[in-house]
Amino acid sequence: MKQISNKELRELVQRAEPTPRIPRADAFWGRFKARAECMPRETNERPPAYPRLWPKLALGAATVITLLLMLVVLEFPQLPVDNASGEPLSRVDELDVYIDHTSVMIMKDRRSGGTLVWITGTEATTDG
Amino acid sequence: MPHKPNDTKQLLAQAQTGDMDAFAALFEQYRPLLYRLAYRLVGANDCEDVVMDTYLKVWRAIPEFRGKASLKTWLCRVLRNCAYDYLRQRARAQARTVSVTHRGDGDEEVAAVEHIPDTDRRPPDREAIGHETEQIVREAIQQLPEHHRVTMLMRDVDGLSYKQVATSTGVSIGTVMSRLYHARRKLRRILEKSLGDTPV
Repeated sequence: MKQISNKELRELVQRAEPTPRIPRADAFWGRFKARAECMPRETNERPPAYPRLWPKLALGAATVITLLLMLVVLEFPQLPVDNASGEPLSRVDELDVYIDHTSVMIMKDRRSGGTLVWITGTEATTDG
Repeated sequence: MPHKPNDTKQLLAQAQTGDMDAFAALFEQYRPLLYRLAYRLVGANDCEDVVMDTYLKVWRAIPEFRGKASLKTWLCRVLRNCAYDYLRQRARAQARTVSVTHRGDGDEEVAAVEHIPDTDRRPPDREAIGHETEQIVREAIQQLPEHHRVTMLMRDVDGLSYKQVATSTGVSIGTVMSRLYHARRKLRRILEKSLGDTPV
């Protein structure tokens, strides 16, 4: 039995197996463009990120609630209770506001003993 | 000629927005490699179609390309999938049994498709020569498992480096070397039996 060396083996394979004929670049890409123009592509447009509206919405809701409470207090001063004892139902001893603001109002309803804290001018701090 | 990294980035960005010239400029450098790989996988008849389909698929998908793999690796992976699709279609057309199995020696799942000989693989001039030894060698090569055959032909006939063969076939360089060793050993055994005293 004949022993075949690595070199002989490679030469045998090279003689037996043809190499591919590669078409010219311009001919290939011409055919490619003709076909590619007819086909749809995947879009790289992403749907817009969900807008971060919740801080603004929360701020707006808080403002509306505050205004409504103020209206209630001012229009119906006898509500929510008639504080007959004269002792305040609540009071503000200390107030820390951790965001920038323009003003703070602390209102007391002498009749009911309630206290309302109203902070204004916080909008500028919500955008980071 | 490979592009500089900045050129590649720019061409890629242009191709992603639909610039076909940029796409062609970017991918032309890989075309010879793709042809060789396709030729080894599906033969001469479907080679051109497989390469074209690969580029068309890449053209469709390139807006979504995020650079997780290199362009060459991605391209070769798409081509291998296209080639296996062609082999399956060919097998169905010839009403032959196709066995698809998982071969676990690569870093990705590769469908092993029974090799269906491409009857028109030889160019006419090669057929005319019809040398007996060449015919024996060709038949012996066809007896090798597909992954051994492709690896050996890309390395020994196409002259690709281990790294290029590894990228093309989607396996590590170590796997390429191992496949090459086994392919040569099997082929040598077959030829030593079949050639006998036939002059080489």
